Amino acid sequence: MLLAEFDGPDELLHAARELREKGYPAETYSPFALESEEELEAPPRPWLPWLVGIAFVLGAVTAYLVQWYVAARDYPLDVGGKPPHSPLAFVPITFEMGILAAALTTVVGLLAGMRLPRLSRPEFEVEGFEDASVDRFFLATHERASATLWLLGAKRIVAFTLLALLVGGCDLQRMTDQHRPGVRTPPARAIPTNEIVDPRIAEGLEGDGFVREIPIPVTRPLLERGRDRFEVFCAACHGVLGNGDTVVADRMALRRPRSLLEEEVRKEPVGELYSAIAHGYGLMTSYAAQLPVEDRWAVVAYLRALQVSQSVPADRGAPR
Amino acid sequence: MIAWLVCAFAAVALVSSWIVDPASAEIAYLAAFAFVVSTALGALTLAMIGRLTEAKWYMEGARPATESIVATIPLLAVLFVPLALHAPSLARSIVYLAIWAALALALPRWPRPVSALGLPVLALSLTFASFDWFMSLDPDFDSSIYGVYVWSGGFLAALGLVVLLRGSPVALAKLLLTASIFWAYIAWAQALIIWIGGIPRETAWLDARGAGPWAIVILLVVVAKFAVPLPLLLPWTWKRRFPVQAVVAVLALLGHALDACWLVLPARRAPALVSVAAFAALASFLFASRPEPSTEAVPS
Repeated sequence: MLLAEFDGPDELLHAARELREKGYPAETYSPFALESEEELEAPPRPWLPWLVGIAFVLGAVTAYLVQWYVAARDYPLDVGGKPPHSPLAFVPITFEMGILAAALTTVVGLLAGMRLPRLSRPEFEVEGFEDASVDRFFLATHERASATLWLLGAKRIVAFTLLALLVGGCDLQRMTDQHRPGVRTPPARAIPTNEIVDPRIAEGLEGDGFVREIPIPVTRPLLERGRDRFEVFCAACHGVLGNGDTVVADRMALRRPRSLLEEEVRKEPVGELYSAIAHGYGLMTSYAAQLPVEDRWAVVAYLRALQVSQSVPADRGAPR
Repeated sequence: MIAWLVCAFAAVALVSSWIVDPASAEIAYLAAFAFVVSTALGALTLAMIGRLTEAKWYMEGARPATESIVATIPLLAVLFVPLALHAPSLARSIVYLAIWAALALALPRWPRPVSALGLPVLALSLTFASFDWFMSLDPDFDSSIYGVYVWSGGFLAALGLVVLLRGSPVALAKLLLTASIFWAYIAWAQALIIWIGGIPRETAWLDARGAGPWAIVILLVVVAKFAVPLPLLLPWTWKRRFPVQAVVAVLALLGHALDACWLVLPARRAPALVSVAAFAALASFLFASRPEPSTEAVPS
């Protein structure tokens, strides 16, 4: 869409009229209602007046019936010798309730029809547009009308939808929706984190319980990645060897970080280990933010290797 | 030309009835005078508002027709002559007529000051004139809203006349609708206040006009001035069509003529034919004396 600025109300009206004659849309923005703009446009939302009319009639009839029922039928009172059913005296309430219903319908209907309240419109991004409510005159129309706009004496023309797209990312703050230029090619075995739906991989769950086998291929690079991550994030508490013999653990005498080499931990299904990393365990917090899904499985795989390596009977040590 | 013929014919009828039955003829003449005065002053109000705001719909649309009606206002003094004998206060009547004539004559010359200063003067003088000439027919009766009632009906009729003379910008149709609603509101308010107060000297006035044939007359007035114009002028497209506007305009004028009868005639009796003659004579006299609507450009 294009937004064109004009010198004054007459120029704006003239342009709007010409554009509409040529079949272009023309939306005007001016600090005051343009006198003959009203004549140019057919009523934009013809259903609303009918709705308002119906609301008026309903409101008025209801109010009259209520007055009649209360004053003339249910509890007639002699007020100054007037008959209980006095239409002349019922007029104000009837009228006012009709107006109330009509006014509320107008406001609600108008807001609904215009899809208001809206905090932002693309036009707002155009510089100086805020003065459309002070002393400037704008007209929005189709891109193809740009030549016509110049001929009609536009002071300035801005393509505002384009601008809005550039600036308008602010409206949508979901990171996944944003275009990120220059993303590196992901590694070959990368598992896209935002697309994992398999609960075995994403949550370490299978049927009613935890998975017993690591659900992604265990490779040497995965184990090396796991060692790296383990030593960064886990070793501080659980020890480089996973035996829980650390300064941190000594200071947490009441509830030590456990040794990961215990029989109990060895028997845990891999899914449970994974879950401890993803969601935390006891005092341990979740490491989901630090370790993406693939890294969690890498750590689990390395931990299994560690557990094996730390409990090999002396007679079964493999000669190098 | 036709207007002059109608005027002459009706004037002859009126004069002859005046010879036969002066009281009846005089009251019929007064009712017609009420119609003519209020309509002409309604046009003066419209002209003053238009000149004051210098609205486009007035300066480039309604002005010639409106001001050609205004130009006849000095002639009201001529029309007043037959009533001069029985006027409650001749001096005050002359003051009113002089004020209006002065406003009408001065308006084209100094439009803005005359409008600004003249509107309140017009409002007060019209109110007091309607008290003196029409409300005083029932000496016990008083209603402070009476002047507004007379004015609002006259304003409505004047708008109708302008629409008929000119064809119209839609602004006039909107004003017509507003004036119609305003008149209805004033009429209802006056009736409610009199009815709810229940003071005999006031209700006597309403009783005389709310029973028998006059009840039918006021019903017709309400239909012509409010009940029909309202639905006709509400829809967006209808109020922009000249035939619709014309129907409302004719109804407004007829309704206002009946309204003038309803205000004045119940006080004394007058044969219907005499009334018709009086209305025809006065209205056609003013219409015939009306200068041609000028379409010259407005100096700005």
